[in-house]
Amino acid sequence: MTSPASSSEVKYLIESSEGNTFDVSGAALRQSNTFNAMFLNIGADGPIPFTDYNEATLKKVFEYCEHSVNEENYSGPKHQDDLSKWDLNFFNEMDQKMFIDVINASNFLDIERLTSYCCERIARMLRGKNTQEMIKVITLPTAEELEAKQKVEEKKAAAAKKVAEKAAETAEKTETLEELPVQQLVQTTRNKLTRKYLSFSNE
Amino acid sequence: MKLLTLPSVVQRNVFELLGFKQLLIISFCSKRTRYLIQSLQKYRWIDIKFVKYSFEEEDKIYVNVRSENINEGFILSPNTLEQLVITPMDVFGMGSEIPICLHPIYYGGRYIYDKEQTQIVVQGIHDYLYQFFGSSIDYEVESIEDQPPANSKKHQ
Repeated sequence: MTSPASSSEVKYLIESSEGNTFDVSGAALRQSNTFNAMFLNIGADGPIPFTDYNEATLKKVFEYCEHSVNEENYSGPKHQDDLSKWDLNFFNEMDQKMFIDVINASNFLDIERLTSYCCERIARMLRGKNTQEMIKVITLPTAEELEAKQKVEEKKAAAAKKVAEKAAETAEKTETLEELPVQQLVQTTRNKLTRKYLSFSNE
Repeated sequence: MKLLTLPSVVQRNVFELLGFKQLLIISFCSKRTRYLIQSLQKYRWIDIKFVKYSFEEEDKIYVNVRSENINEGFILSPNTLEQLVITPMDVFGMGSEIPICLHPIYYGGRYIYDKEQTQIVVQGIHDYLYQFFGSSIDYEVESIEDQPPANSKKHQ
């Protein structure tokens, strides 16, 4: 059911990238500024397509929204230490891939509270780290990894070059082979015609 | 955590939650992170008045970044008997052959350097900060000696 009504009882259907649909309450959805801008006043006929995100991610994001419906209005970033036990569990039970997906979805849906908590969590991961540790956290390749990657690419390029050279050689050979039968055919035809001509002139 | 693949709004929010010293360390990670910080956080440096290098006693060097809102900096301490070994790190874009590293305890706030190489180290730091903040800022040198260090002549 979809409706522009502002009652918190109203449920909206959300469509994920898998094409699955599920219900989200209007009160939870209204935490998304993207939703407010796009659908709140005009309503939606049929499921609201958030098809860039999978069902698990969207459910996680709206789980957060449903939970924070009754919390006081958002008033700027809150320090990680001020997060409730529920909030901490919510973040801790996510693996890194899910965390990244949730940040992206939360950013797209423009859910300020969730986005800012995610950012604070990332900032916390970066604080008090040296360069090497920082590189690990933000998963940048190290100098050694870059060197190894370059070597692998050089090897691949050399192998590709060899393959290309071989292919060129084979093509040359094939061309010669293809040419030979034609030449032979021409020669054979020529010989036959000569023989016929000779036999005809002898007669 | 693939920070560089996140939306730039998220990257900017994350950087805003970090102080100058931490951003400086992130900028050492790669050229891309340096450009990212420079572009997303430029507005924070806009009112910087000066960067001051103070050459103090016992070969300590204080690098101070001052604006109306920012008063941050870091200290360069020479290697001592307790902190004799310097495992060079690629900081301030100087490459790992220059003897400077982050202090093992005071990350970001303090660096250890080889006092025999003061000239190269300070010049390297200045070149980096000059590129990082740009030329519109005053770069000052304060020294307890009568003569400022030779490397203070460049970019003044």
